[in-house]
Amino acid sequence: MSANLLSMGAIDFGIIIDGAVVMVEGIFVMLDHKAKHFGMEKFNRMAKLGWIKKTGGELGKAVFFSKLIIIISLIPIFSFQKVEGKMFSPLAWTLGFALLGALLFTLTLVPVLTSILLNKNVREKHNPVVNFFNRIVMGGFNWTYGHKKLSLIIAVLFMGASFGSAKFLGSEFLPQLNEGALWVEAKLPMSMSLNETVEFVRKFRKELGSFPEVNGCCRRRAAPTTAQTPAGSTMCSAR
Amino acid sequence: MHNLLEGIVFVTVIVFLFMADWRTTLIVGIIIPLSLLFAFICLKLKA
Repeated sequence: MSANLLSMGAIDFGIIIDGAVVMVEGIFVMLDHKAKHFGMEKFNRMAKLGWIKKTGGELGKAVFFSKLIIIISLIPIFSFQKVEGKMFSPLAWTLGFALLGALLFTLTLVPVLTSILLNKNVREKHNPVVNFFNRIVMGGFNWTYGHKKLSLIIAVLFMGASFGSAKFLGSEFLPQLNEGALWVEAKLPMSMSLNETVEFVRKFRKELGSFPEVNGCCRRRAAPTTAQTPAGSTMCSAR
Repeated sequence: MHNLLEGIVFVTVIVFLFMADWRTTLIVGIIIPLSLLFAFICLKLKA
């Protein structure tokens, strides 16, 4: 399998790192709480492997299942056949392997790296970006928590609408090609001579080209290119 | 290749923006090339 737009375009770094972000952030917050609890000086001298193991094990379960769900959602793409299979299976394979690799390293390497790098002076800083989003999210959360019934009804309505809209989706995975080209065919009498057909085709093309909507016209006077169609040199076509 | 590098840099910058700590950003940044390496090895074995 080659590295091309179809296989590489699938790699979404956001999905790949989200497990690692969850793991690192979880361990970071836990260490920050411990540092606040014990005081920074005492915390710096303490062994942290036990805490990291406990928190990492808890978060590992959640990360494992979230990644597994994403990998499982790729299964329909593996079942594609013919042209769409050729086009989309590199995407599924590459993303699937990258997710598997990310999961493997998130569960093994990340806790080890946190135990080495986050060994001292773990302090959650005041972050204006996070605070800004926190305010928006908490506003939304408080509203929905205050209007439980209404938010539940809205959510169910949205779900129903999305199920209902599923029937408007096409089941064809490849986009239809529409070049705006018309294929005009003419069948000439069997007894027509070759020279005459050449003359006819020339006229045929000239008349087609006389329409203002026609940008270009190419012609052919011969048997069709597919072997299944029986036709002699008296068949002519223009595009 | 260029796009991959750009992607890695952008993701790392965004993570740094939200985590505001170079150590956590480094850990997350290390995962990207490693998982790509794993994917490439698997694809090579599969082909």
